[in-house]
Amino acid sequence: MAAPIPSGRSSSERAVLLGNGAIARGLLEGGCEVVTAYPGTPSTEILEEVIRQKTELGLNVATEWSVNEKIAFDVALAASMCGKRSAVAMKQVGLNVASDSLLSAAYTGCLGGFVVVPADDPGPHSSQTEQDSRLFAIFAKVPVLDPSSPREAHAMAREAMELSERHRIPVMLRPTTRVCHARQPVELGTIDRTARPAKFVKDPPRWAATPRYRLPLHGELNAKLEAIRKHFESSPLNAEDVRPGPFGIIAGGCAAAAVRDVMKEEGWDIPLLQIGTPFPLPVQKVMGFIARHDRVLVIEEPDEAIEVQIPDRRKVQGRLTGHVPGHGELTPDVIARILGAPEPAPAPAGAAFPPRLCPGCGHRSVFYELRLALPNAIYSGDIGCYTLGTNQKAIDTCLDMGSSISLATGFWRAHAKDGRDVPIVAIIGDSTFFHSGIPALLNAVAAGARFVVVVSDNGIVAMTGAQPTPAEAGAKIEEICRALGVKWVRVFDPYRVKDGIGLFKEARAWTKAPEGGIAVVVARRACALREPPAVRIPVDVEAGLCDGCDYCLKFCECPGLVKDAAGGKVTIDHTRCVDCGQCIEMCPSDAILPVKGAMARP
Amino acid sequence: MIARAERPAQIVIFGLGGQGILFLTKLLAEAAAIEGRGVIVSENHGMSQRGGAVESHVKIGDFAGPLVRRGRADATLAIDPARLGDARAFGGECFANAAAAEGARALDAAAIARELGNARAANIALAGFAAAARPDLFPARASLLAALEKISPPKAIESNRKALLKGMESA
Ligand code: SF4
Ligand code: SF4
Ligand code: SF4
Repeated sequence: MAAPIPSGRSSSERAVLLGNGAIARGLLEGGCEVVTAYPGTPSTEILEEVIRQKTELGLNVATEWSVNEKIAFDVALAASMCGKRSAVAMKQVGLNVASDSLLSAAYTGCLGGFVVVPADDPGPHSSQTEQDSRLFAIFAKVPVLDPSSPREAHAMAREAMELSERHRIPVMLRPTTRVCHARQPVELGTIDRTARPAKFVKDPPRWAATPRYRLPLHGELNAKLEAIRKHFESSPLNAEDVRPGPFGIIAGGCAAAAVRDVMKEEGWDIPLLQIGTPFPLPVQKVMGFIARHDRVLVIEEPDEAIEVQIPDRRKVQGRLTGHVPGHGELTPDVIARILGAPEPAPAPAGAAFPPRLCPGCGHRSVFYELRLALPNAIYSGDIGCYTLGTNQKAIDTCLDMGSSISLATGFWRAHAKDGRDVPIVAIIGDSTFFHSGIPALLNAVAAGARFVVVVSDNGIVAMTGAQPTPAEAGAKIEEICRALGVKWVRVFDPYRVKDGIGLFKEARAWTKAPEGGIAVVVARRACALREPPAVRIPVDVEAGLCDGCDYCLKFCECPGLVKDAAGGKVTIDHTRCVDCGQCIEMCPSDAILPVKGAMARP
Repeated sequence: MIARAERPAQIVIFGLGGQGILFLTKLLAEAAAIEGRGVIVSENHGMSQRGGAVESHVKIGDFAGPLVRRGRADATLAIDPARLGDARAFGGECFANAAAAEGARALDAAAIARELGNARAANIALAGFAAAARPDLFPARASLLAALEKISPPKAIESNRKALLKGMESA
C-alpha cells in the first residue's frame, strides 16, 4: 500500500514522493484535468501516481492508458483544444512515436495548458537509445524545462502548465531516470480544482490549418518562442552564481545536481549556472556567465542541447570539444573524473546478473517450443519482457515497438525475391501488438508475406508493472487478426509444451502451403508475476535420473533450476520455483518429475 | 533514547531484482523525512527488476542528487550475498545478509526472516541490524517503525515490525 497523499490544502504539507509522483502532483496542482500515457520506463509512474493521487484526493481528473504514445498525445492535445489543462507522459522513445503530432501541434499551438512529459534514460537503463528529448524540443520548436530533482520536477510541472496556457504552446517537461526514480520530501502546493468546461471553438485556420495557414502559424510560433526566451532570461529556473573567476560550469538536469554534490565533497567552490530552461536558451544570461570566466565547461546529458545553442563557443568546453564523454550516464563518478577529482579504486569485476524471465513466465515455454519446432528460423523480436528470449536464443532482433512483424515482412521479402523460402517467426507481446503491431500485420497480409506471428499474450503491459491494455475493454487479438485478413489463427496455452511444438510446426506448414500465407499463433497465459499459476505442479529433479547435461539450463532457462555445485546435477530452488510444471517436459532424461501426489495438468 | 543522526549519511543497498530493495529504499527515505531531515534516494525500476542486479542509493542530509560516488558510501547493505563484492567497493561499513562474510558484518537475515514465517522480510531484518549498529548513520528506531507502518501493506505490518526489531536486537 502506498503512503497516503496529504490533501495539499495547506501549503506547509510535505510528502516523500517519487520523482514521477512529484510530476503528477505538480500537474494536478497546475489544474490538469486530463492525463494520458503509454507506459514505458522510466515514465510509467507518472500516470500511475496521477491515478493514485486523484483517487485519494477525490479529484475529477480523466486518465487514460492509451494504445500508443501518438494516440495518448492526440487525446490530451484535444482536451487542451477544448480549453482544459492536460498532459501526456511517455518514455523518450515514445516521443518518436508521437513526434508527428508534436511537430504539428507546435504550429497550431494549444488552448488550455498542455504539458508533454517524455522521460529520458541516459545510460541507457531500460531503452533502445540514449536520445535527448531536449534536442527534440529544439527540433519541434517547443519550450522545454529540465528538472534536476523531484522537488524541481514538481515546481516545473506547475510552471510548464502556466507557461503553456499563457503562450498557447505545448511545453515539454524533460525529466531523466534519476529524477523519475529519485524519491525526496516535496513541499506540496494547493491543488487547482477549477473545472474548465470543455468548449471546442471552431477555428479552421488554426486547428485545420492547410499549408497556406501553416506559414503564418510558423511566424506566430517563432514570436512565441522569442517571448518565452525573454521570459527565461530572468527566470529563477536558471539559478546563477554571478561571481567571476577563471573557471565556471554550466550544467542542466541531474548533471547539475551531481556537480553540486561533487563540489561540496571535494570542497570546491566553482561558479555554476544551472540551466532549467534549455530551450529556448536564455542566451544573454549564458553569454553573461561565460564573459565572467576564462573557461566554461558545459555538463549536460544525454546529448548537447545547451552547448549547441551557445552562439560563441570560443571559451566553452563540453561534449563537442571532447571534454565530456559523448555517451553514457553522467553519474557523480563520471563528473568527478571530468573535473579532476581523485579516482576511486577500480570497481571489482563482480559477477554479472543479467535479467531473466520470471519463474513460471509463459513466454519461456513459447521460446522453448519455438526452438524445438522451428530451430533454424529467424526469430524477429520486439519490445517487452520477452526481449529476454535472447537468453534462450529465440530472439534475433529488437528494433522498436511493433518491428517484429515489419522486420519479418522485410526478411520474407528479401529472401522471397531470391526465390528462397526460409522459416521466419515474428514474436510480439499483446500490448506491443495493440501499440503498433496491427498496422504491421495488415501490411504483411496485404504484401502476401509468409511467416509465423506469435502473439505472446499475458493480458497486460507486464514489463512496466501491469498496466491495462485494450483487452480489458474486450479487444480480442485473434479476432483482430482474422479481421485483418489472416486466414490461419490459433490460440493455445503455452504451458502445454507438446501442443505448442505441434502448433508452431502446423503454422510453418501454412506459410508454405499454396493457399497459405501469414499464420498467427496466440499464446495466452497470464503474467506469472501478477497471477501465479492457478494449477500448481510442484516438481523435483530425480537425482538418479539427472545426468547433468545442462539441457534444461540452456533451453528452459528458469531461475528455479540450479546446478548443484557438488554433484553436477540440477536441483530445484524452491524459494524461486512457482510450481508451474513447465520444465517437466523440458528434460530429455525425464529427470524433472512432479512430486508425488501432485496434480497433473487437467 | 537513541541519538538522532545529524551527520550526512550515504548508504547504498545491493541485491537482485525482486528482493525488496525498492521497499527498503522507500523505508529509509520515509524514516529520514519523519526526522525532518533532507533525504534523496535513487531506485532501480525497469528491466533489472527481472532478477537482474539492483542497487539503490540513499543520501540523508543536504544533498542535491541521488547517486553516491563509488568509495564514498558510509554504509552498504548486501541483501544478496552475491553482491558483497560490489557493496564493499562502495566504501564504508558493509552489512551482509550471510551467515559469515569477509570484510562485512554478517547477519543471517534470511534465516531470521524464515523463522518469522516471512521469507521476504530478510531485507528489513538486515536494515534493522545495520541501523542498530550505526545509529550515527541510520534513522532512529522510532522513525523506522513509524515509516514501516506507513508503507507496509496492512497485512504485513506486524511481521515487518518483527523482522526490523529482530534485526536490531541482533546487532
Ligand atoms: S513480469 Fe510477467 S511477463 Fe514479464 S517476465 Fe515476469 S512473468 Fe513473464
Ligand atoms: S534435469 Fe534433465 S535436462 Fe536438466 S541437467 Fe538433469 S538431465 Fe539434463
Ligand atoms: S516448475 Fe520448473 S519451470 Fe516452473 S518455476 Fe519451477 S523450476 Fe521453473
